[in-house]
Amino acid sequence: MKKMGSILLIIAMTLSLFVGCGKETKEEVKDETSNETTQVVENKLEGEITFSTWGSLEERKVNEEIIALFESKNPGTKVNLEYIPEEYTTKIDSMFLGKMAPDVIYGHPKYFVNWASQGLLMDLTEKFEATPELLDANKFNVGLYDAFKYEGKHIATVNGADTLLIHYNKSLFDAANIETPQVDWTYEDLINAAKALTIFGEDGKPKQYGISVGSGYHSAEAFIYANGGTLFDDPNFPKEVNVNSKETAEALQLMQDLIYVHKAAPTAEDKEVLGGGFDTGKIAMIIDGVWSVVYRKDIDAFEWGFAEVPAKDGQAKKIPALYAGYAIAKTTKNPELAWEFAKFMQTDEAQALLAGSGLITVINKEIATSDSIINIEGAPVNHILRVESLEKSIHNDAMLPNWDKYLTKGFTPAMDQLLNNTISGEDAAELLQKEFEKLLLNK
Amino acid sequence: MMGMTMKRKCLQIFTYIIISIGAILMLLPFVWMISTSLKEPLTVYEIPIRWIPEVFKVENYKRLFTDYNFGLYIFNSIKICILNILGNVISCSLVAYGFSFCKHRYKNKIFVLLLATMMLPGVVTFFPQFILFNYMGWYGTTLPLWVPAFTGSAFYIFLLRQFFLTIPSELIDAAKMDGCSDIKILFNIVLPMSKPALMVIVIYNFMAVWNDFFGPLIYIIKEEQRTVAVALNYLKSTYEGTSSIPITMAASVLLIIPSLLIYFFGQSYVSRGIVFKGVEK
Amino acid sequence: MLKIKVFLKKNKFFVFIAPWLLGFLAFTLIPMVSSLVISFTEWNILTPPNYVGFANYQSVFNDPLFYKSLRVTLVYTLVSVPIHVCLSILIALLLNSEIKCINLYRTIYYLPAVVSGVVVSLLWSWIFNSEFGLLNNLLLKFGIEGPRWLSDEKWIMPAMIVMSVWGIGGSIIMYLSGLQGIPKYLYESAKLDGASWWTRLIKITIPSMSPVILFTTLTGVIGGLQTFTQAYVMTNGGPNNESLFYAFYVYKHAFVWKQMGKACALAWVLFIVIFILTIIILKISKSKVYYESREGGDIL
Repeated sequence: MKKMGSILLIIAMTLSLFVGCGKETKEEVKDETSNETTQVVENKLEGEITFSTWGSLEERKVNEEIIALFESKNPGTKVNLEYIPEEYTTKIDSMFLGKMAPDVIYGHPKYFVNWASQGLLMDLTEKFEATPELLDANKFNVGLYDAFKYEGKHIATVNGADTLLIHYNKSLFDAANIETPQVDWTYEDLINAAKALTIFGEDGKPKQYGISVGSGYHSAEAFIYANGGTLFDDPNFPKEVNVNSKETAEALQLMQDLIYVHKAAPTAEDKEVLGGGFDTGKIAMIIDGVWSVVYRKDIDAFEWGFAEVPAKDGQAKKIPALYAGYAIAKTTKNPELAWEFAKFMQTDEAQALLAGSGLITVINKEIATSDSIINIEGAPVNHILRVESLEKSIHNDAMLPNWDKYLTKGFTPAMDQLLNNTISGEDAAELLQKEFEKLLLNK
Repeated sequence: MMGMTMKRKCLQIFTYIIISIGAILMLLPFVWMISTSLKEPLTVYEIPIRWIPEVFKVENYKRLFTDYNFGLYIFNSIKICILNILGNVISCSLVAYGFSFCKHRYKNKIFVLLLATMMLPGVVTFFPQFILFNYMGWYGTTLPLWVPAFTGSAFYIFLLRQFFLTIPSELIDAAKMDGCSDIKILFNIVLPMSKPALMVIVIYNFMAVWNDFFGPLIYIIKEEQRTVAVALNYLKSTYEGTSSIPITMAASVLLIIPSLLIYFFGQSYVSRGIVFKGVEK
Repeated sequence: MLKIKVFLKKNKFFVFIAPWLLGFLAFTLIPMVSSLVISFTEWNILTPPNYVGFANYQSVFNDPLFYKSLRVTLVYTLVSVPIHVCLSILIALLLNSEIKCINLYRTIYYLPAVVSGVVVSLLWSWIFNSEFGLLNNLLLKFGIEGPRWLSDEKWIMPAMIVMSVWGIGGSIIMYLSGLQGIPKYLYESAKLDGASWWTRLIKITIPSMSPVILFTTLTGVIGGLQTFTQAYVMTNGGPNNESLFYAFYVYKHAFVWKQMGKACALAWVLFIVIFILTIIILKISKSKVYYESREGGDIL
């Protein structure tokens, strides 16, 4: 009996140790909440909020710097960074479900449209109107705000927009004495340059590739839009699918031909190829978002630059861009602090920090084009293109709440088959049309 | 007669060769994993494969703790493992005792039900369980990951029951005649004699919970409660410059070590415990 | 007080199995019934569900990806389980012949089974890399040019199967224990009767191990049909959805696309498939599996 008693006691103690830990955190949070509401009445900025974001380590560092700056300017406040590197929307959805949503949420417009349609985001129109400088078209690229509205109401502040461009290895081009990508390049020019920059080793296997067409749908969109094709009639309010066109077929066919006909592109994802891909100088051109500057600026083995993806007969028609901004959850316990933080992202200091990392082409026009940003250390040649290309930009993907379904059922399988040489560019365009229509029109 | 031993020897050598080839194939991925975890990111891509890195980049391991918070994740995983083992040992012992030593009309029928639940696909119950836990307010906590352990697990109950049944009934009867309560019998006679089976449960349960990916993926939100399996998955999408492979492999090696330790520690118990036939009385 | 004590004494059995019973009700029975009910609704969890009758099931049977996913999962399971069983038995037999260092070999074979699904998936996604991965480089030594395992839709399933073979250590251990439990005198008398090793294998070894074989086959099939981690960590269902394992497809519906209703419908379809397969396997085994009868042996 004694032995059992002591065992039970030990078990009980161990249990309480663990159970205690779990409970404490929840209670702590609850206490903070009750404190916050009283503070708001006193009209002093205090309290704690959670800010969720994704991204690489570098992006995380930038965000931490901004948070530190904000906290130092507003002593008594605390911003907790909730870092979610994968399955971002799924996680945030779950958090809304568990009533633990972050206060300020980083995201793309199509995420916000989804949450706004479920009534989960705060309407920021009044707050915007109370801060007229946010709507100053001289200071900010106000055109970007349109993507961050739901039913005409502002739902997020914006940090900027990044276009998808060709990243080219200038050193390789120079070494081979080939002209770097020009604005009026045609497919012919692209193919020739790619072929010239593909070098084979003694064993007949390539040591270097001229270009990588990627393996996903992002680069496909870059080629399609550049050539004048589209996915939907309007990416912001898609009603019709019109991806099946000559232009789309040509763009997709080019991607396939570069691999199998011209043998100037590898079949695998660019990084895995030949050890490191573009970043180790083994691939001369890739399609990527300009946010890559945040980590590519550390490359000192070669010079690199930006260029637009060409259309078949010349200059790019449109360039896909990813926008990102900061929305506020309706369930926030501290709306004042949340708004201050979201607004802070568009202040000069924060915009300078964001732009200075190379992460984003910020919405603040002056900062985005300023010398210190364009010429940051390690910046690519023609860095200014990231701003200039915004003029031709079109929002990437589409503002569809179930875009992931379009990917799983349509875009990804079509790209898999296209890049595996199983179907032609034309077939792929038709397949995309069929699958997208099935989903959009609920056939 | 010479022919026979020759044949025997040939067979033996043949056997050795085959199982050795198999063993090498089994080990090769591990060797690659360890070797890669110590490499400079770029050298990962060298062909032909360099098995012994030029420079032993132990930094890869250090960085897991300094840059990536793996110390916290390991602690979280261990916490949940211990809670699970505690819950399972207690509840499965009680339930198995019921199935072994108590009499009831429907005992066998209920046992068949128990066995049937072992074959239940998790997909059917997982989502409603998720909704249930959400309704109880447990979503976002680690509770869904260990409280169910206190209601037992069919496989461990089955294992313990088989083991309990091998205990000579004379012992139990004698104890009952002496006036021992069931609880006393369970703790003072049955359990001490079932150490191998209990060890099996500890080992298997630890490994199952330590490696559990889906549960923590769905239920844990805050980074401070994250477990190693989920952290490892996140690691692979973190940009690491030229290659995230070495650091991911380093994390993988870390992940394997506890399982290996527990396995080696209880190895003899494992093989003894699973034999459900031919146990000497 | 006394009444309670008497009641407890009479129903001692239920008192002891109470933890499991509670768990069964709360975590098995009720969820199962709820999931069936939910499968008749359309529900995204945040808003109240609405009844749609058989619409979800219709959607399932009209969904080409459902058939693809089911095919992929069935092929994987029905190919890999027999391979696992045969290979495991073979290796267990080899290990069981009196060789030295059996413990060492046994440990080596069991090692991969100890490893978590995430680690296995990550490790093998690099091993399968067509350019610098371990596998293709090994094949190159024999002059074979390996395929693009993970990006070629024809090779992704073979890749999954190869990867699964790495983890057969668990069943090898079980078969070894089973083999060691076979009484030696059976073999001796068979040898005296002049039986060849093949006859000994078929007439003694396999039948004696049949309960273990049944157990591993059943668990192998049920587990195989619920494969998830590989799809989630390695392939995301591709290429061309040729590794869209069923459990992963259900996960997508429930947690990514927020279609709980259809997810539950899909789950129940899988349950029925598993149920049918289980019955088939048990029926086949009735005639083939030999049980030694003991008190516990009545039920397995």
